[in-house]
Amino acid sequence: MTSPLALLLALVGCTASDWEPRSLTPYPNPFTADDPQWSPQPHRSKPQEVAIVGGEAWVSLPGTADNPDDTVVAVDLDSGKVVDRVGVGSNPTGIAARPDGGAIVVFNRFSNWMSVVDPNSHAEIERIPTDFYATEGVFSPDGATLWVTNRWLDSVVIWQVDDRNRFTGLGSVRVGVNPRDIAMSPDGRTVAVANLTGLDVSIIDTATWDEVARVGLRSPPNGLAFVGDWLVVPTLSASSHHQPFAGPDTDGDGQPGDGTPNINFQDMQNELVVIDPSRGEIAWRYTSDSICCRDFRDVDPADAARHGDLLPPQDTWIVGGAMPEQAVADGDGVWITYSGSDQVQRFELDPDSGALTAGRIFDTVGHNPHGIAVTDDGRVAVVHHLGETLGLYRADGSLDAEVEVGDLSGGAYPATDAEIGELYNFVTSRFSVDGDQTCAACHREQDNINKVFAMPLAVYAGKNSRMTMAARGAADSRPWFFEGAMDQTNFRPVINEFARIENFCCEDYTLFPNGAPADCVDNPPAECTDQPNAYSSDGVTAERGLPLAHPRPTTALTREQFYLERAAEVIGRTTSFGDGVFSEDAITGQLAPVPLNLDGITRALGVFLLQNTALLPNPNDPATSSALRGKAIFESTTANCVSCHPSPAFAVSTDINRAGLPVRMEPVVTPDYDDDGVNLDLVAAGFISIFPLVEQDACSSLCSVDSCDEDAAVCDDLRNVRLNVTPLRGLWDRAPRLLHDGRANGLREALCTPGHPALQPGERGFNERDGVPDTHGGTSQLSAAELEDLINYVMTL
Amino acid sequence: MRPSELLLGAVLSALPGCGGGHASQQDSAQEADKVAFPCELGTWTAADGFVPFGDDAKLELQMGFQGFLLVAVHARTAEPAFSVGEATMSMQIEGADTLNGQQPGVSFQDGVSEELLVFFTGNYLSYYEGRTANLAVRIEDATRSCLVQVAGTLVDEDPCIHTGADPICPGDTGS
Repeated sequence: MTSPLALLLALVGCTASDWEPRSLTPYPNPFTADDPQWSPQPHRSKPQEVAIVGGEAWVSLPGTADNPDDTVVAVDLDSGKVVDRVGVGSNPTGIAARPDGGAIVVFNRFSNWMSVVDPNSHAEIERIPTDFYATEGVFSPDGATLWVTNRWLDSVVIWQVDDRNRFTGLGSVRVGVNPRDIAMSPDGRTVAVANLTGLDVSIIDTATWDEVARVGLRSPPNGLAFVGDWLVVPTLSASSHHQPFAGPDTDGDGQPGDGTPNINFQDMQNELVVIDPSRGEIAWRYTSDSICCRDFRDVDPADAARHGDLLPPQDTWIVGGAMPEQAVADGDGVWITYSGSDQVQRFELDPDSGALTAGRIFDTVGHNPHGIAVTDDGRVAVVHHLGETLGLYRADGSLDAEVEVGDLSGGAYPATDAEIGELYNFVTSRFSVDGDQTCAACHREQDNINKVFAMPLAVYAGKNSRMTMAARGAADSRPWFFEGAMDQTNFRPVINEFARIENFCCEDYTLFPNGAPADCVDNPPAECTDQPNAYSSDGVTAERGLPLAHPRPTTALTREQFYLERAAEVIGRTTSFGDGVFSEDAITGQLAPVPLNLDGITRALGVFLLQNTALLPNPNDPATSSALRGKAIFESTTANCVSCHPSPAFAVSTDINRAGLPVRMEPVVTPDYDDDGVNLDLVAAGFISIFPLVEQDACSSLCSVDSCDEDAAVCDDLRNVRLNVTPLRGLWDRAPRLLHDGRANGLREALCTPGHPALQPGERGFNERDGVPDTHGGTSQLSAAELEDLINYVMTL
Repeated sequence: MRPSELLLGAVLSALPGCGGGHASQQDSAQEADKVAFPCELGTWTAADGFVPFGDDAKLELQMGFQGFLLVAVHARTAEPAFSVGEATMSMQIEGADTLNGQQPGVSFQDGVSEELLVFFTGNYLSYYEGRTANLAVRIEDATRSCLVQVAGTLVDEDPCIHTGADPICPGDTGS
């Protein structure tokens, strides 16, 4: 707990008398009309949250990080019409309605105030000075206090509200990383905060302001709702995609591995957690209803040889959609939006045990459902974040009305190739064979989550680790990924994981090792219906003929067919618009739209990343004396950070490389060795074969050809893969785990040499390679204060 | 497709700096201010070095990492100091869609490029096998450009597939 008023003023950063309204300026985007893939994009409002006040639904319109909006909209629930649009601050996200209906508070992330809106006059009647990045809020049941999450400060700020809607700051409580959603128990005694990036939930006693529990989920808490005494949290699977008993101990059980049988993307599931707040513990954890057997690598519960017994009990397989996003209580039940599959589902909760029972699930009429609320007459109001509309659904799931609350003046969504890519990014699951996987699962709000994963592109698949990367600032930080080998045209191996060819009959090389019949699609052979899906005994390689074979996940005979079918269903078209994704004839230069198959979708996703930096504007003041001192250190010849981290992305890239440095570099920190000294960072030879830009030591360059012929791994303790430079821009908002394998917990660990005086108890310095210090910039000579200055500067980038 | 249908010389002659050419070809993607230079396509192995494609080139279909289907070729040029370029590739396949792709950062060493990869994202290997194809490749940097075409047949002479760390050959699967 922190001191109330003085600390609040410190948080606000000013006194009431010198406060002036300010809004943050978006980062510039270097992707411009000079690029042939650029095209003008329609304005969108990206409606996000909804609150019911009397007979109206109030919806926030935050826009995007690059082009923020500043409006909330009121919808009359009887007529289903927009009745007003009210100007507020920049990037309004959360909306909290005072229980007596007397005031609506809107939280403007990019402005330094909260907007108080009069629900009767539909006007912003007051601006309450606060810090940037006030994100979501909740009133106490008596309306006397307002609790507000702050993404920037990783805190909850508490306000007192009197009968005349006057707000007085009381203090704050420190919570986890990037808190977003917040909920209060019906009795007003407990506040729960979802720390989106930090992967945990803070439980706060409202009487003492103590954070009485921090419930770790190992997955992002996407939303929160109290249902009676129980807290329901939409989230994702806890797996890190490592092997169950090999690789790093990512489940904290003291044993290697993550304790789950599936590896790689097959472990991506959608889950609901029920927390007992009184004990600060997870009471129930429910998972996807299709956790098994819809991909050739899925582990069957009966597959003892592959630890099928580690799968969750089958009676917990009840989550019907993908990307459980937001929750709202409704009697003894709870409604969940599935932003990754355009669905909503109801669950009943047993008040005694907290156990959930799956209820009806229905498709939404708009894309990417996010905020959800229940009207007084029992309808369910669902915000279609990408669809730009509000859906009013009856309890049986039928549509009562769809209201355009956002901006469709530029055409129905999606209207451009970048929007196709955006849609795929957030509603991916329809393009995954198991229906469970989404890009946004790990790249929440295009940020990263504080989690390392095993990636399928490694020599030691299932054992290696790569930190989740933020999908932001892509245009001037190419080539992408740690290996620096991909750009918007070719990162298809990443989304390949969602629908591998082994699952499609005519491409299943285990079924047709000599090739399927040439007319397989036109005349499907009997094997396509009477033979099961392929199987994998190691989670990587496809095999056939083993006893545990699965039904095929789809009737599509090729991945192309699958993608085009899904594109028609989800996107409403099977070719790109051609404004950003097109083919070019090498001879004539003629441009043409491309099919929305795996390749076309990949490229649309790439254009989406280019069109939007998605970088949240930085609230840190670059002009503080500490930041200025840190800047001098950053640019000094002794620390020399600037050589590898030049502006504007603060990374060496194809486009920005003033010093002419290699885009891919020798390791600057000790590689991720296993106990035998084998370098787990190495990437597979096959990966290199399709990405010629990858640079990795060949075995024969370090050991004799004969020994390499005998054992290709003989030199894997000596070989290294070159990695690119991670952009520092936007680091202030990123997950605290740093370096390619996420070993460093915060900048101090990433920058400090071992034993550096700046290190705090329990911290380790990773600025060394194989025992040689200062390989990640010269910092050993810095005092603790100087290192803090350097950190303070980096946080302003 | 007969090799005469695709004559490298005819294409090159249509480019600025290569003499002659039809007006329609001069409207090609080659930017007018780029200097054209000649290049050729072929295969490269450590043992044999660069071997240019002859008449009716065999374009080997490879099932590579993660099951991606591709054809890999190399380009050679005598253009001095051409070290890195971007490749734009088009492959017209008999009775099938035209494939197009780009590959940035293609490096050349001793005049020979690294592998140029044409990915087949639409269909399966046996669907393409035996079909004739016309591969056009344009390689360019900021000031120079070459355009080359080759005609050939898509073949699958390697009995193994290379989807993972080790090749899978007939008889390996299901055992």
